[in-house]
Amino acid sequence: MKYSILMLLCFIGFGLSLHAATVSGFVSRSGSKEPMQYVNVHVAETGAGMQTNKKGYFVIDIARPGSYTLELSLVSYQSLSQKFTVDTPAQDVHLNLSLIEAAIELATVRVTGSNYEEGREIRPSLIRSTTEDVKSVVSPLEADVFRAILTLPGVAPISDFSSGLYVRGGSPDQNLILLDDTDVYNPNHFGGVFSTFNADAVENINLIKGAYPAKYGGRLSSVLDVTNRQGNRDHHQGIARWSLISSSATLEGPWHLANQNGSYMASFRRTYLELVKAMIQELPDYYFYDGHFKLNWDISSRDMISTSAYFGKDRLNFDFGNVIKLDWGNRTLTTQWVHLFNPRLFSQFVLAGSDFTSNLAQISGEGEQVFVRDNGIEDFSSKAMLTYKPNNQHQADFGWELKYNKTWLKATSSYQYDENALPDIEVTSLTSSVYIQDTWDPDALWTLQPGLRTSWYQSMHVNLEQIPQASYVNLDPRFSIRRKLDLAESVYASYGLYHQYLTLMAADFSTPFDVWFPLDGSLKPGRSHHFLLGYKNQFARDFAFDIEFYYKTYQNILEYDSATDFDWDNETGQLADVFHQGRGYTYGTDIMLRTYWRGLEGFLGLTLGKTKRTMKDTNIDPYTHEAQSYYPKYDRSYAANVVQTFNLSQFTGRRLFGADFKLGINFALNSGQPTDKPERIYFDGEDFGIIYSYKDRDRLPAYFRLDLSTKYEWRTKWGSIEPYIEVINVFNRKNVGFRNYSIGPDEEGELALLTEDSGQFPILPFIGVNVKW
Amino acid sequence: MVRSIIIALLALLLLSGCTDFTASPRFKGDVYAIAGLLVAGKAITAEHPVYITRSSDIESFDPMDLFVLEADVEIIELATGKSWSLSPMLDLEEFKVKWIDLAGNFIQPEYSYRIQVQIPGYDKLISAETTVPPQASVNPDFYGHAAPGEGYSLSSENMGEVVFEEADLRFPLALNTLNKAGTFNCQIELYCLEPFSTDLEFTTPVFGMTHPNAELEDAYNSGGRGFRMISIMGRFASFIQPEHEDNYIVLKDYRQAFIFYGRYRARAYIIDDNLYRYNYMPEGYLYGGVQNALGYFGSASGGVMYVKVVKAAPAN
Repeated sequence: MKYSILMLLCFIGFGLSLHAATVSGFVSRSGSKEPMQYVNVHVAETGAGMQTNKKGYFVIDIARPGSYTLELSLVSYQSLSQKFTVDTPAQDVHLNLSLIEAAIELATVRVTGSNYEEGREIRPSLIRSTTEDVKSVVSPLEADVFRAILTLPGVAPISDFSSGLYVRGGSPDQNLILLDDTDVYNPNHFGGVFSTFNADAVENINLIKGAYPAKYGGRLSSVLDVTNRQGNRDHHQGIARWSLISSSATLEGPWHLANQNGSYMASFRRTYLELVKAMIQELPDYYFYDGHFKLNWDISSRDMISTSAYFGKDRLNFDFGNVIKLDWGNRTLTTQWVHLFNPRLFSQFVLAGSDFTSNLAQISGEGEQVFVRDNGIEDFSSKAMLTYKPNNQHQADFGWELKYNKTWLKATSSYQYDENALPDIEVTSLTSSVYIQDTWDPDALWTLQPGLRTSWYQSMHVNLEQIPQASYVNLDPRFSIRRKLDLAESVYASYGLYHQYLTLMAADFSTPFDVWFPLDGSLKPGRSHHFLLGYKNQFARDFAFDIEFYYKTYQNILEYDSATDFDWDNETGQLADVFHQGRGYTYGTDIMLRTYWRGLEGFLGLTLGKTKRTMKDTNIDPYTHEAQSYYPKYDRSYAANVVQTFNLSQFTGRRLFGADFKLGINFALNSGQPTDKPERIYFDGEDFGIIYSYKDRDRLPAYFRLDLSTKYEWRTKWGSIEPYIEVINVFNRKNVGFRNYSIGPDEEGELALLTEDSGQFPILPFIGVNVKW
Repeated sequence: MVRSIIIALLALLLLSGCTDFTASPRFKGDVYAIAGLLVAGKAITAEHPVYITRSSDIESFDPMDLFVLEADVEIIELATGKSWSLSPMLDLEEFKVKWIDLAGNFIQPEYSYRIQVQIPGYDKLISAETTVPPQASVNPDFYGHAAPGEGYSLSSENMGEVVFEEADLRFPLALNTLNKAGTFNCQIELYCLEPFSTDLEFTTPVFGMTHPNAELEDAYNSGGRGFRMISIMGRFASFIQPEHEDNYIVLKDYRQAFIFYGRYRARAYIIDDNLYRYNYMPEGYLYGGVQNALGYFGSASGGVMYVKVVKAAPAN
């Protein structure tokens, strides 16, 4: 480990000794002046280049004075060449540039560059999507970030009614979900049909499925990094959407005050199912709303401050004599300061707060509270993320993070429950992390990327005396290596070690009432090794092929023990009593063929994989009472997805009845999920009971679904109108979500095993309209 | 070279991806199950018997082969060392073979009992132990204001009536633990005695429905664990109640468990850990305290009451 740190310092130190001129600046989108991430920027004469970072920033070394050409490219945008001159050896040339979107009537215009160029950094397992990518995925009701992610290779959907992300054998709690660099907990609305994030408010979504860099930590499986839009800095604009059960509106624009400038973005969405309930009584009494807000202040060319907020709330009532009232929601508030110390040292400082609360109350007919359950998690974080680029061979990323978490779970009841049987737990913790990573190009073909993240976790206040305090220090090395085989062809390998200090009390599938808990001293942090081997090839201008082999191990992973609901004791309980602890592994390959060809945009994905877990006291051998390993529900032997949007107007160069016509297709074929099945029956004195097999004795039928959509976009002087029709599950395939078994008389009156399949989405048509101005 | 390696790895994974791996069967050979609930103050009789059954796989289930008819079944009272045998009894009304104590030994509260079962041809001794909870009894009229024909009855004959809206306000479920205060595993079960019919009426309309449709019949019965039976289980505290000298577990706000109007059986028991675990644990048949077999050997203390839930009389 010491050797690794020394190596890192040597790399960076070597870089520090060099000095040259630079060309640096920010790239923004023409027309809105919003920063653009992942734009390929390089100097034509030297070949040196990089991709813009999250804030649209780039910096490239220029060794000698002279005249140069800066070339910028990104798929869907017209390429840009910008001449500049370096007069002195230490000059810093600052250029702020804009890219123009390639409109569809420009089908004959050659769109150069590629989304798939890798840039300097090795970003294994990264799939990045823009808000347009998300909107092009056919989703029930409306475009949805999580629904779009669930179509990607390596991400397993567990059910049509859940948007929980099972990434390469990991469970949803093992995903780090960030919104503007702030942790978001339980980011789902009811039923999983909607995720927390409104697609109109989102700029970029980066999903890193494994071996993520040292900048990220605290989760075992993956990172979902979502960035809110900054808002149009050029003019005011808006989007409104109406569908059968929800509406949303997004407004954005510039602001000017005295000599200060900036931008704003505000987006609000609400469902109105409770109004529809007036006509259809069978519907639940439910609604949700959420909002994204962002305010940016461009103080100077070296300083920018932004504040963003998110809030969302779901409310659901059931009346069955007593009334069950449920509500849950997330809130985040983030302030970021981007500061350029000098062109080579880019910094981003974050102060963030986030919370998730869920409440349940059972109210009697007389208005008394029969049962109340309050749960929540608070997160206060400060982060610093700095990038130092001493020369074109090295880029050092380093920073720190301080995270304070507070979790509570309290239940009260008017029933005469033993007070100690109702949870009354409050735990706080502090996690401090520092990281450093160097991206080193020793020559034109090779790139090395060593990194290290160190974290110190300690539990702080625990309201129950018997719960042991925790204090863990871990060093997580990360390493990637890449060799370019050709201009757009490379092979790479990555390794990373990861630890997790928060855990989630969740049943087999995610619900809003899952409870996050910082570890106490009775549990060890989760630990995972990631190994990757990947190959990328953009074999034609409009086609790219990626393949990645992965292997992950999991130790000290946790699964909620539902028996805790009945045997928890506030006087003796520890977190170790609440969870089954275990280990597991996953391996497989993700294959992706991406297209951007004459209006046909999207990808074909294929995943082949295996996931296994062994959890203490779970799936036990009835004779030895030892836990047996099993394929969990989210193990998929294979999963194939086709997600494509075909823009007929772009293909033909002509509009249909004056409108752009787009056809969207989603096709999914997944191997059946593992399931237990009745193996024996027994008699308990009154009834026959079912004895179930091991958890993976059987597989449900393979999942197959085809979704289609058509959109017609009429452009007017003031904006556009886009009515759309979507059909989910076109073939009305009866996909099986769960298989329920019971024992009863069959048609001939004989005692038999009866099965009943709970379905997934039936055929669902939707219509709606989007209006932009 | 790189391409060759990738193609080789891919081929390997493709081959493995074509197979859906599944586990092997969980049980092999003979598997037996015990179901025994000892009730404080009662003997092991046809009303509270012990069942010894064979667990079979689904395909070869034969009802004639379900009950074990030959076995040596012994109950041992651990505190005194006293032991007695159980004998098989064919209950023709219920088509069950019950193991009962012909001598009628009473089960004593707070005593521990052991059962030992030796089945010919089965080389393992099946055994289990339970400690009977303290004496407890149900109180059908906790507030003492039942009018004639109103409220719970201790017998299923001549059942009293309660108006749904007042059921739990006037008649809380009360379990008297006498001089024993403290925490107990408690199981309260409300079972609708009405056979399924689309004429049944929901006490509270469910998503606009006032009567169940025929499709709900399976869910209603569902192996005795359908929604005709609502259980409330947990660790409850018993303490002195106002205007009562004894310690009570009192359950109010429970009328939503009366899903339909009609006749109900209400059981309220303090139960031992074996039965508690059997009920709450996933795969409880592995946690019912039985060695070398499935099921449970538990004990309980409490009682059973009956009531008919009716609509309020229309206002004049």
